[in-house]
This record gives sequence, C-alpha cells and structure tokens, in this order.
Amino acid sequence: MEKRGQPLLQMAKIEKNFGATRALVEANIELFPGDVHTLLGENGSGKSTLVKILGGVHQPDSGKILLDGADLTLRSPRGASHYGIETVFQEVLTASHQSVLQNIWLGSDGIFRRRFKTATQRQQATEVLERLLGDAQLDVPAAELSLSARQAVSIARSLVRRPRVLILDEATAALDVQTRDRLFNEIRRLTAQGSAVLFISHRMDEVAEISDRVTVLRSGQTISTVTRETMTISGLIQDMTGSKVSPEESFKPPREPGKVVLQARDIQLAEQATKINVDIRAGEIIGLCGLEGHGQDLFIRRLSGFAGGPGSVSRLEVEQNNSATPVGRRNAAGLGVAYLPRERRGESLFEQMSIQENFVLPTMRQDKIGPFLSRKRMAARFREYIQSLSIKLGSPDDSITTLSGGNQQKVLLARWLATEPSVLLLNDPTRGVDISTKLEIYRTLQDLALQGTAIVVLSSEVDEIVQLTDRALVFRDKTVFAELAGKDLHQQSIVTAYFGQEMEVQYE
Amino acid sequence: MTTTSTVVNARLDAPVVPSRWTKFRFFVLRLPILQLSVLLALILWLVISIPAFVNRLSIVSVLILAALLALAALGQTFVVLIGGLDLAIPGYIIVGAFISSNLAGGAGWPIPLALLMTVVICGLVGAFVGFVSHRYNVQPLVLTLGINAALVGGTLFVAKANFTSAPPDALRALTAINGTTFGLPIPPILLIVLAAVVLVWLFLTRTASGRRLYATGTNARAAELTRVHTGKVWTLTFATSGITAGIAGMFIASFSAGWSANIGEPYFFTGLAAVLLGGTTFGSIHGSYTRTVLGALILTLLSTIVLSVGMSESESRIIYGFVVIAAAFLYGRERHVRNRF
Repeated sequence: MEKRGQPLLQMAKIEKNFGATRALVEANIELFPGDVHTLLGENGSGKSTLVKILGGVHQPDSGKILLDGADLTLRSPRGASHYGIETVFQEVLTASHQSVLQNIWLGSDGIFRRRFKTATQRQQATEVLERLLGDAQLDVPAAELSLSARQAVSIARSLVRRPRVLILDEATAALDVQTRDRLFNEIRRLTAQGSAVLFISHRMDEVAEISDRVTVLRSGQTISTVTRETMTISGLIQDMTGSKVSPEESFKPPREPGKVVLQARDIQLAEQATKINVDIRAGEIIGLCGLEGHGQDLFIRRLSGFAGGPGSVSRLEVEQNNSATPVGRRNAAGLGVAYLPRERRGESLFEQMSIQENFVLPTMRQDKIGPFLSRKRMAARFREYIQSLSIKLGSPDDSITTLSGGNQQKVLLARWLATEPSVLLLNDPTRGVDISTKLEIYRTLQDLALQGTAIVVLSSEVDEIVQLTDRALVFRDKTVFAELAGKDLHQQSIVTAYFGQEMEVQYE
Repeated sequence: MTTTSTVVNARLDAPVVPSRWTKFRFFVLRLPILQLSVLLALILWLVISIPAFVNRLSIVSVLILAALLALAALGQTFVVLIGGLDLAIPGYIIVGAFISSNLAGGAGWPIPLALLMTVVICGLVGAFVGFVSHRYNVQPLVLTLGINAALVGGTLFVAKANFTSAPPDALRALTAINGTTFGLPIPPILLIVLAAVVLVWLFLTRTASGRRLYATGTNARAAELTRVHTGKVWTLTFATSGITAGIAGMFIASFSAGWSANIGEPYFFTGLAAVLLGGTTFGSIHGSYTRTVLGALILTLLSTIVLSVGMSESESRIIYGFVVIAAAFLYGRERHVRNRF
C-alpha cells in the first residue's frame, strides 16, 4: 500500500457511557481518503455507538474527532451531513407513501425553497439509481418496492449528497446479491474520487471482498487495525471474539429424519407460479433461501399460518392417527407451530417492557395461579432459558432495550422455545447477530433437531444454509427452483440456483 | 493491548449494582409522585384560602364529583393504553342517564333490569366500535365521533325530550352526599370507585389479559405475531369503555336528580384530561387507573377552587386547557432516540 498522508477523518480515544454501561472505553480509528475501512466487532462491542457518534446521533463523553486535522464537534445528524458525513443504517428507512424521488431528496429541501432544481434532482437520482438497481422508477411510492430496493433508495439518498465520508452500518444486510455487487462498484467509484467509506457488516465474505483496512473493536476498545495485505479471516475472528472459534465448525451431526409433521400442498405464492409441495419431517432442519423477494419470506409466513392464499398447510399428528389439521393464525399455538418473525423491532420486541415480560407473552398461561400470574413461576421458567441459551443480562426486570441485538434475539428464541414447539419456523434468525451468538444459536437448533423438533430456517446468508441445514429449498420467481441436500448442498450450488441455471456464477 | 482489554472485560462483565439514587429515581417514575404533590398543593391552597371548606359535606361532595368523573374515565384509560380514543363517552352517559331516569325512575323498571339494559346497549355499541376500528382499520376517533352523535340523537328521540323523570330513590341513595354504606358515613359510590381501583390494578398488573392489553398498545403488530388476539383486545376494551361510561351516566343522573340533553358533554373533555393528567400515555405501558383517579381528584379540586374564587365558565376552561397542555409537555416526551442504544 502506498504511503499515506493525513487521515481524512480521525477519531481518537473516544469514550462513551450510557448510565452504568460502558459502550466505548478507548476507541481509535483513522479513515484515509480513498479507503474502504471496515469496522468489525460482535454485537455490544461498541460499533453502533461509534457510528452514531460519527453520525452526530450521540455525543462522546471524551475524546477527539478530527476532520482534515481540525477539531470537529457534531451535535446532530444534520450537522454531520453538513460536514459531508452520511450514514446508511441497517434498518431500512424510507417514507413508504412518498415517491422514490422524494425519498432520495428527503430532508435536503428547505421549507420554502429547493436546494436543487427538480430537473437536476431527477437527473442525479436517475444516475445513482440506475447504477444501484439497473433501472430508476422515480415516481412509484417507496412502499411498492422490495425491501432490497428500498434499502438501495436509502443508500442512494446518501450517495446523491456526494459524501466525503460514507458510513454503511450493516446497510448490506437487506440487499440482494445483485444490488450488493452494484453497491460495491459504487463504493469503489466513490473512493476513487477521494472519499472514505466506513463499512460495517456481519458477512465475512463481504468484508474480505471490499475492505482496504479493517479495525476490530471489542468491549468498546480498538483491538487491532490491519490492512488488506495482512488480514486473514481467522485472525479477524480471533481478534473479535478474543478466543479461537472456527467458522467452519460443522453443525450437522448425522441424524435420521422422523415422520412428516408439517405438510404443504399446492401452495401458490403468486398467480401462475408453480405450486409448491413440501413435507417437513420431525428432527430435520430445512433451509429456505433465494434472492430477496423471490417468495421465501411469503412461504415461511404461509407455513406459520399468518399469511393466507391458495393451497394448504397441514399439521400431521402421529399421536392422533396422523390426523391432518390446517394451520391458521389462531390454532398454530395448539398445534405446536411456533414462528419467529423477521423484523425484530417491528414484529417481535415490546421495547417498553422488561426482558422477562418480553419472554413470557405467549406462554403466560403456564404461570397462572387462579386468575393471577405468579411472578415466581415466570422467573423460574425464564431462569432455565437464561442458562441454557446463556443470555447475558443485568436483571430480568431491566428493559429489553438494555440488551445487545444478539441477546435480544436469544430472548425471543427463548420466547418460542418455551412454547415447546414441534415445528419451529425461524425467519432470518441470525440477522444482525454477532458470530459467537450465531454459533450458540446453531448449536441450540441442532440440539432441538436431535430431540425431534422440525426446524425451518429462512436465511439470507449462504454460509448459514450450508452449515446448518439438512436440505435447502432455493426460491426463484415465487416458487421452489431447486431442492439441495447432502453433498449437493454447498455455496456454489445454492448461488447457481439463486440466479437460475443459465446465469454464470461469480461466487467463490 | 491484550492485558488492558482483559481488565476492561472484567469491568464490563461485573454485575451492575443499582445505586441508591437509581433505585430512588425508578421509584419516583413508577409512582405518580408529581400528581400526588399537585394534589396536596391544591388541598393546601383550598384549605388555606377557604377554611370553611373543611367540613364533611363539602369534602364528601368533592369526592363524589371526582368519583363520577373517575368512573366515566375508567374505560377511556384502557382505550388510551391501547392507543385509541373514545369520543362517544357523552353518548354512553346520556344512554345511562336516560335509562336510570325515564325507565327505572319514570316507568318503574327494577334497578337490576335498568343496569342490565345499560350494560347491554353500551357494551354492544362499544364492542361494535372496537371490532370495526380494528378489523377495517378505521380511526376510532372518527368512528366514535359518529357513534356519539347517533347515541345522543337516538336517546333524545326515544325519550321524546321528556326530562321530567329522575332516577328512583334507591339509586339516588348510592350517590347521596349524606349516604351511608353498611352504617358507615361514606356514600356507596366512593366505595364502588375504590373497588374499581383495586380491581383494575389487579387486572393490569397481575393477569394475563392485562399483559395482552399493554402488549397490544405498545406494539400491535408484534402482539398479533406473539399470539395475542388484538382484535379481541380492541373489541373488549371499547366495550368496557361503553359499559363504564353508561354506568357512570346512571350515577351522574342520580347525583343530579335528573338529566338533560347535554348531561354527558363535560365528561368527555374532563375525563380525557383526567386520564392524561394522571400520566397515562397513548399506546404505552405507562399508565394505570390509579393515576386516572388522581387526575380526576386534581381536576375536581381545581374546578372547586376556580368556582370559589368566582371565575367564570370561560375562565375556568382556559385554566383546564393550560393544565392539559402542561401535562402533555411532561408526559408526551418519550425517550429521545439519541438516548437509546
């Protein structure tokens, strides 16, 4: 790597506390012009806090931020934007009823005056969107786009402002593979013009592909910074976890699938789409994957009974003479079908409630003594799961928001495990979860499968499908394009199926 | 580097022992300290400015007025907790007032039948409101506005504008200032509201249904996906609002010994004000009926003071308005995004 001059942006000895929680102890990072700098760390390592400080959301307790060597004080996201610092967050933030064009220029206009002429706005938005999405539909409401396309719109929002420092805080989590590759091209264009990119992702393949430098953060402290030439995936993981964990650890002990417990017949996810027939057996782990918006999300919701449509989903009960009962949203509980939704904040968490109250909701009935709930019983039941899933928490009565993302996810997993399901449906359960928590979740799921639970996992990560599942259903155009199992189940075969047979694979 | 990070880890993993101050703050936030102090201040003010106020009859009559207001706002407390708003309170009140005055009083219906009639009519109308606004995603604000007009108009039509009857004596005895309960010199209405406070507290904090109500209010989508029948919660909550307001209407007519076309009107605004002043916020876990009762006491004392210093109706309304605005400032502020992490 060539000799470097002054860093474009420097954060030195940043410290930040939230009450008793020490989010950042001593964080240092230097962004050089032309660099893609990746920030790695497990959940709770302080990544988000560091990004929010840089984005003007939080103010540091102590430490310095230097832009072009001069002191910088950021008081609000708008202030950060003023200095050319733009952030794209993991949560997809679009105003759903406004058009794509309005979404892209959101917040840039004054109340009475436009900063740019409409024609200019349209032209710039078109350019950026065409490079990100392949086409630019500026006038449709954002709500009509897929999740991936909406995220592309919020990335475009940052790009049209021509940032000097672009922060992508797990912004690729919601993107499909195609859009992600296009985004990486955009990132390279941007850095070629002398901007710096701060990149955050839980996907090691992305990190390896795009990073010029990587800084690892652990427990609020900068542990190491390495350049592209010197970095190795295992070294980074070791720095992050502080111990040796092999990402290639196999999670598939041999086991025999049992009887069919859930049967999907003639499921049609769109008009004219090929019908889907699937048998789900006790003790097997089935993976659902595909490019974003190809039907896998709707399919798992059909299985859960929360979405309706043509075809049937039936629960077969061996104990009761293989009687078949259709699964609906109201009887799923009685049939032992549990569903963990995808969006943690919007669909699962009750952010004002305590950790224990979040855990207990679907299983409260067990804690009844007469008409009243017994707190003792609740606490006793929850304690079991705190131990078995090793959930790290202060007190069960603390607010759920005091937990890191990974621990929140464990609480939610516990919520559904407590229903003692026969069929466990998980919609992207390790999204935004750090590596060691991920491995813990994998082990838990394997144990459950060994005990005879049927598990269906939708995942946007190819690695996860390969490591965790016995067979994978790859979705394309609202139907199952391929079913892969045994030695046919590997990254190459999955990604080939993602793009249909004729597509050439560019995945390693 | 490694050694320092180990030290840091040790510090971070140590269990956080809440300081005494943290515990105290928690305590203050959980309990309606602010409402209690305002209430105490108002009592002091009243006692000092009008020493003659301190006699049994005045105190009991203020308590009865507050109890009627609190009863009318019982259902509204639940409705606000699930994030709705019930504008049909005056409608339910006029139905209850009509039934207790013209049917129980004028036509001589037995009181249990009159009560049943009120519960059934107001309960069904409320259930309709809750069901429709949940199922068809209608704003309860708009729906209850229409329901209110229909209830008031319908009652006046059925009553043929006959306001000559009053509720029977047995009913009036429940709200009489010199009323007694089992020989105790306390009007029964006060004990009824007190019992409601205890029951609602148990319901909200100790039962599964209470948890489901809070869950529906804070995140309806997650509640539905966590197997809470949010439609049922909405239907029952609005039904409760109708029933309690209807019963309150029976008592209000008993207390004022008769009824009129706008008997329920003051109770919508003041009732909602009592809920919000108590510190219950829309769609949240911050709120309870105890707080609403405190709000009702504060508002009743305030109006007593306003009347006693000789202010006009319009002046007292200005004061009410400012009190509600002040409450909105104190409690409307949810934690700012930047304080989350």
